[in-house]
Amino acid sequence: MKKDSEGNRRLKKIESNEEVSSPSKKVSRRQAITSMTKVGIGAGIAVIAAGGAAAYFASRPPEVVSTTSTLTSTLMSTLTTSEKDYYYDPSLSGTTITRLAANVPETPFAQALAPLFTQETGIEVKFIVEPEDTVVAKAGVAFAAQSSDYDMIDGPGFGGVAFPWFVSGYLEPLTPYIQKTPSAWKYDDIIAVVPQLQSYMGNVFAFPSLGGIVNYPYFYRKDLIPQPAKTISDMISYASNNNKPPSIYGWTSGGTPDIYSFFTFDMFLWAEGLDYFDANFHPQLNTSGALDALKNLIEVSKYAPAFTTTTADDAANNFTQGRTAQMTDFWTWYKLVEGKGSAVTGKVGYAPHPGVVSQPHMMASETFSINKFSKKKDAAWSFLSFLLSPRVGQIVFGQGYGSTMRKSVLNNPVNKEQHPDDIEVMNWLLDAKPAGSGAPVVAGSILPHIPKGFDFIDMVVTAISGSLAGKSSPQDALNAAQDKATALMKEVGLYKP
Amino acid sequence: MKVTIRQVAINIALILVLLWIIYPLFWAFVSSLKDDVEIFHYPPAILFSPGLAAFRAVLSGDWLNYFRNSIVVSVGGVILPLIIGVPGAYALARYDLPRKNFTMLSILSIRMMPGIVMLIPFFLMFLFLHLLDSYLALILVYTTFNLPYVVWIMKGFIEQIPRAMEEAAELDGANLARIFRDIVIPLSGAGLVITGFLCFAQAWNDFAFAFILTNLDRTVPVGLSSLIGSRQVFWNQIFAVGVINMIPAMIFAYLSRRYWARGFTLGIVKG
Amino acid sequence: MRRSSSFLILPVVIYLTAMTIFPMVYLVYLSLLDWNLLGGGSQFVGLQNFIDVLSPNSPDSPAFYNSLWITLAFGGSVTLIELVLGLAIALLLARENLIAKLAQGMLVVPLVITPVLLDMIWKYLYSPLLGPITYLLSLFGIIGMDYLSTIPNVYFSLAIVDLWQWTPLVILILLGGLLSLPRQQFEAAELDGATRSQILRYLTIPTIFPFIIIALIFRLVDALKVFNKIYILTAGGPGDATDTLSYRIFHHSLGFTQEVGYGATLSLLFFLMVVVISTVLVLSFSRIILGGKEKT
Repeated sequence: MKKDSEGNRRLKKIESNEEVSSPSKKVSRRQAITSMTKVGIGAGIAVIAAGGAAAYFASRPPEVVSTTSTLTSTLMSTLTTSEKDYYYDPSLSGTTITRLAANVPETPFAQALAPLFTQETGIEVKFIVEPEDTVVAKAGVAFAAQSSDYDMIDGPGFGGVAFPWFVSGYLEPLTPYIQKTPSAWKYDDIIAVVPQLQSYMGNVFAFPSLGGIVNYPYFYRKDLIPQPAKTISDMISYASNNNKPPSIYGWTSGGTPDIYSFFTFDMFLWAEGLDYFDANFHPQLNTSGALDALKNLIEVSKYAPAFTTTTADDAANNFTQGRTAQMTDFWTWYKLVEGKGSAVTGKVGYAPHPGVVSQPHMMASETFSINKFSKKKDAAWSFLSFLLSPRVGQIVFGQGYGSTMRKSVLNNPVNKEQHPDDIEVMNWLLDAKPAGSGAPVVAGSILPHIPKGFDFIDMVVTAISGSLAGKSSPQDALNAAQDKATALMKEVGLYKP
Repeated sequence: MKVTIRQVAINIALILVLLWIIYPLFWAFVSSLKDDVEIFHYPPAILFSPGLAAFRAVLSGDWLNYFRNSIVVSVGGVILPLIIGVPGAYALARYDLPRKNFTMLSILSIRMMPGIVMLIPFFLMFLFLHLLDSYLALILVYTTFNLPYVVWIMKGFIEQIPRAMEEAAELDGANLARIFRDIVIPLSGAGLVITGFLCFAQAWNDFAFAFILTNLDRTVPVGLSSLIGSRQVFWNQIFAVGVINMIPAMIFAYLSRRYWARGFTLGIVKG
Repeated sequence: MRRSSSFLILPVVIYLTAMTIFPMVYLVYLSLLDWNLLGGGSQFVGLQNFIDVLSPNSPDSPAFYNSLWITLAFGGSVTLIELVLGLAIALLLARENLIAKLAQGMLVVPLVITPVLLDMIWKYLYSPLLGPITYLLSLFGIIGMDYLSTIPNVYFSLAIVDLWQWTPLVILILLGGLLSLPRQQFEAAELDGATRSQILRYLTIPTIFPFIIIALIFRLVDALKVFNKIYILTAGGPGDATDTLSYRIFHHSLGFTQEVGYGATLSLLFFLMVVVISTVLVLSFSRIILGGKEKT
């Protein structure tokens, strides 16, 4: 029997004269089969028509060229034949490595650079791009099965996820690989705090995904707000004044009950001079400062559209479409909010987050690491070191990525001239030291490097979203979170009495 | 006069029902014709210059792969259950098997089982067997959830075939295979069509399992969801994919509407 | 009666047993572990997971009971509404009217649309910045409403999506019953002077009762399993207002905290609950469902 593409059997008519006499009032068998054949044929035609239309459109030259391919052709034109400033082994040519990548702004750049890399080394790179939490999920199960399917794996939160993976032995220590990389790679050119925050017991386990670090500053509409808000209460009053739904709202930021609301709330805590826990790992959630921070967040989120279902990307889109007056979001959106398709080109101002003037500065980025069970670690390191090399660092910075971990890029006068805002923001981090070192400018890692870090985050964001939804009072929510968090800190052995 | 007013009221109610069904679909169609800038315009416009930019953007290499994967996996999710299930339905319809009711009810309970429950075990199972990103894994999973449909619905249809026909054929010397080919399958055709369609729809529309069991070789629903997780949610592209997804199914469903009422009675009522 | 072809049932039984028993056994094993995929390895903890989830004293159990309550309350409510609404619309549609026929044809459409796509359409419709619903309501002066981010709006919004998608199924099932009702009884009743509502109450509903039960069972069990909607539209929020059991299992085992042992424990409990409910329903009405087949 033939099957059309929907897998339904096309029936042939019964030729026999065994007509069935049935007492019910059904149509006769023959008629039923005839109509079903017609139905099947009709559906088959519909599918073919749809398929034909699809093929027709696919064969026409696309009007919209994807961002990645434009970027690739631009980057390919920067190809030089100079000495390789990253780990390169000719014998690795012909290998294919797989990267499990998160759907973050850095990834399209890496994808655009991959053909360049392949041309220079002969190594093919396959990208599996998923939303961040899916990456964490799939990686977790792959580690549990000790699978070698992925060679490189992304992790969110500046090592906050890579850290527990490394402690469990799932990630390859990178320090030996650094040592066998040519000196042209210039390890010392990297801002010190970056490998410091991503090392454990003397071994680096991760690097920022494109060699860039971002923070979570403040974006505002210059045409609506003459001066950027300097304090949280300023931000709240600007939000309230500019809130005229549904055409425009006062503020937007990531607020979903996962890492996004965790990041956002951190800014409010920092404005009170607090952090999630102090140097002795005592959670600070039931302090009066934390209570004020939460109340402020609740207040300003009234002027944000659908705050609890907005991710950081949604927030950026809201702002780009001109629908909000202020935004708290990642630095990677610098200039992108004024880019193609934007409704606010020329109207955007950038500033440090209100309340957080000089310290601490949040450091965030996607990081990537090498899977301990991978069978192609050298090839993976080749690609990693390529993406982090000084040459590529300068290229992507110039292409609008806007962030870097390399001092040479920061000190490059050409960059200072062409991207003054970027350089100013990056300079905040130049002198940063890890938290707890007593230095004047502190780089706070956006996700705490603690075992069971995600359980901690879960407790906090549950408290936040519960009080945002009005299910519990801020005080109660924070107290509950404090109890659970303290228990957790004691459980993982970090709590110092 | 009373009858007329009532008629009018009924017609109004019917029209409301129609509008209620059409409203979201209308917006999906309309939005799929907008371009990347128009889609973010507020208030959402009904009058604008329609274009096929979204369709072009979406029908790139990746999406053609997704469609192909969806088709392969869905067809497999129809054929395998039918091959396994129709003979099983025949056995249940014709014979007084031991513990028949228990068997029927436990098969039904698989249909009732929350798929989520099987997510982790299936994922780990296929991970260890190196069957992730394969058609086989998804087809096996879909067959598991489709077999109950096949058995239940086909049992009802097969029961309606008079035994006399089969006995006559037996007397003529036909073996089991011929009975199937010439009698059972042609006469339960309506059941096959309905079952085939249900199985296809179940596989075509599945999200959770395709999501967790595929990496690169995705199916259409997974592709759709990854469009939302991305930087900018291009609704027009999402709906363009949706429209392509919807049309064959809608046409088929509309043409076969007469058979739906029968199918959903699961063969309880004759006729 | 030829015995030899009763073996035909074997492939089905073997296949289903293999594909369900092994995973279930593995699931039981997992539920006895404390296994966090993010690191820390797995430890055997016996029944501790179950105690943590079920005992009223443990810190984890309020979340579970909340989840359980939401699943049951939401599932039960939408099923009930769909049954009532479905019956009403089915009665409306069971006539020879042209519009009725058109509507009958359109009924299948919500059922064949990919559910994920449907959820996205509604996400768009509900979007406070872009959605047509926002615009519609603003014309009536309702401004700034958050459909998915505030309680109790989120429940209504989700219910509307569910209604849109699944009431047609109820209608189709009931229509099948309504259209096969024997006309003579109705004509006789009318001749006897019965009012419309009397006919409805004493004749129609009892006769199509089996169909109502089928619709109830199908819908209730499916409504308890709701996952796609939550994942795409609300992500369990706001707070934990829509944290149904399916979503909670997914979120905690493969999403956020990756506690696979906890997820397996919840899965088993959830499975138990659904099996118990569906078995009770099916057994109570099995005479109606299975008995009908014996009437040859």
